[in-house]
Amino acid sequence: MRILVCIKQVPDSEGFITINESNGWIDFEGSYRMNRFDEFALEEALRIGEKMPVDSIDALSVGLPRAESTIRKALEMGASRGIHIITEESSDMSAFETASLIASFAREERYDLILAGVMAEDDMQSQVGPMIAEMLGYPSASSVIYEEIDPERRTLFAEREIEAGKRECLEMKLPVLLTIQSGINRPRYPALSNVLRARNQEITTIPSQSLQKPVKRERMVALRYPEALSKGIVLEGNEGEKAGSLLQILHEKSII
Amino acid sequence: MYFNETHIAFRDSIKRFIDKEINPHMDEWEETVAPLHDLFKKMGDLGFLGVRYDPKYGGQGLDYWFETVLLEEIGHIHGMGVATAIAVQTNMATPAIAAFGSEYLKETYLMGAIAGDMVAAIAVTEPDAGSDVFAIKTRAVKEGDHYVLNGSKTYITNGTQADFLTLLARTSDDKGYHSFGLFVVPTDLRGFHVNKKLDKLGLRSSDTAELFFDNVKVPAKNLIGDEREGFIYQMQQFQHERFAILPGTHVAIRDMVDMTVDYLRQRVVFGKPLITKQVLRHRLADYLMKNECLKQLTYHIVRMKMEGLDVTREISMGKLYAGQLISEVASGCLQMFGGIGFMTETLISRYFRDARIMSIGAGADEVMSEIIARVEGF
Repeated sequence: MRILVCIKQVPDSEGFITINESNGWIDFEGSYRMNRFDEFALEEALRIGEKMPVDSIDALSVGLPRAESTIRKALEMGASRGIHIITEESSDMSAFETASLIASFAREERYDLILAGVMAEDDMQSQVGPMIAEMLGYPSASSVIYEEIDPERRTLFAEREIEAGKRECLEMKLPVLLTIQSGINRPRYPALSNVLRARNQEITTIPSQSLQKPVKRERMVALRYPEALSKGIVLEGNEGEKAGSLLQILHEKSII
Repeated sequence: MYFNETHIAFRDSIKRFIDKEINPHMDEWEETVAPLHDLFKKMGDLGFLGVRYDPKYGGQGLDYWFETVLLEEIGHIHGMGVATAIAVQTNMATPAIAAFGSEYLKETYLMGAIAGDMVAAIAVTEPDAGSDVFAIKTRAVKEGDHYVLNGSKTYITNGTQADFLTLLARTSDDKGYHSFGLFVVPTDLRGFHVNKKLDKLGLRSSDTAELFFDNVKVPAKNLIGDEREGFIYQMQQFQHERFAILPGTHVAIRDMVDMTVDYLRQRVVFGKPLITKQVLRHRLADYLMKNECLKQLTYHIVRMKMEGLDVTREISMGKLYAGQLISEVASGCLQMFGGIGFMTETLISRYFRDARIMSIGAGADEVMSEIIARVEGF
């Protein structure tokens, strides 16, 4: 059993993002970290590895050189190998381009299971995972909240989260790609022994140019701040009057 | 300058653990005390409880700088009770077992403590013997293949939850220091009683107990090293204990100053934020200046330890200064919070209560001063 986990480095939400008018992209002041949804995916892979014999759990990221720190974090959590498809562009990459690069690499590696977070916290497209599945011809399920592998039958049972807390149950033949929903597990903290191992571990680096060059299919026209649509309201009067006004507003907006 | 990328990654790992697994529970644990078996198991699984210890017993085999990272990070815990409970496990009750214990003791108790399967406590203080360790009365008398233990211990951190105690007892009536033994005493032996959980001014998230030993038969194999050298072992163990206080103290002091600055920025008095008042700004700057001295002395001690030098003088100075400074800063910061600082719900009031023990526990200020005077030869 060989597992690939796709991880993305995203800006930490405590940082500060501004649009850079000159290069049509963003400036970011703050630190970067692993996409939280990918942490759930990685944790799920590690748990599979604890339940059954697994040959390797590879953590792969497509991104600028700085993404190495996120790959190293995956190694600290327990991934057995880190793979970095290094890009040079600092502007946006479309989901199609990212998926093409990953699929180009994964095709040769013949993974039995590919896991990714249900979406990236920064662009929230939820596209890369399903696109990889399509490119590789793998069956896939998105927003997975439970999975169980039958290694003898080489099947995977998955439960997807759907509307109103209901779940859709699927069974697929391996190899499979899943995108993992938050809440499926509780990502672990890196153990000190893994932290030490991760420091010295080699990360496989692959220049993106060496992989099959994807054709860009979308062009970003502009980045724009949303217009402010509503203003705050300052309630007037004494405590009782303010409470009454607030209650009325909440009723009008059908919040309570 | 002192810490490399691996130290930083280790620091991040502990920080994340504290932010998620400890700090969100601190208000509750101040009421109920922290559940140490649960907490230590999680920490043991992550390798946090045996940073310096031999990998043969589950430790990580790392140096004093890594230990310093752990001890600094636990200073970020919102209340010093849990940090104390952790330090008891890593630096107060286990160093003598690692240094002088038999293979049996290491495999049974040191391994258990490092894995977080066992909670450890250090039992030295007695109702009539605190900093005056020499005055302890608890007695261990050899009878065949065991020692019969009688006496009592008090103010024992982790005392109600401990699976074993590293306990100092008198083994002979001879005068001098060579008449004590240091034992590993399992708490499931007949005749061991936890008399009561003590109610304290501070460190309320940590349990502190009064313990009684009524003809407790301790297997002879639970003696650490030589039955006449326990006092010497404990004095050496005290150096680990006293050092353990320093890194977390300079971190906690910095946190107190930071939370006070945040509050002073928001608190408007006479039309201006309090942070604009020079008298307060300068007082805070003074705290940071003194804290930098404590931090640098701490790092100096680590460098000396790494060189294998005797650090008795420097650790005594550091412990004395840390205890005095944390109380000064906690009190001064609480003053700047004003009325709300006096409320139990504010963190600064907890720090104020917790800080007080730092000049008392692990050798009172006066004992530290006396050690310094003796080392200096007067």
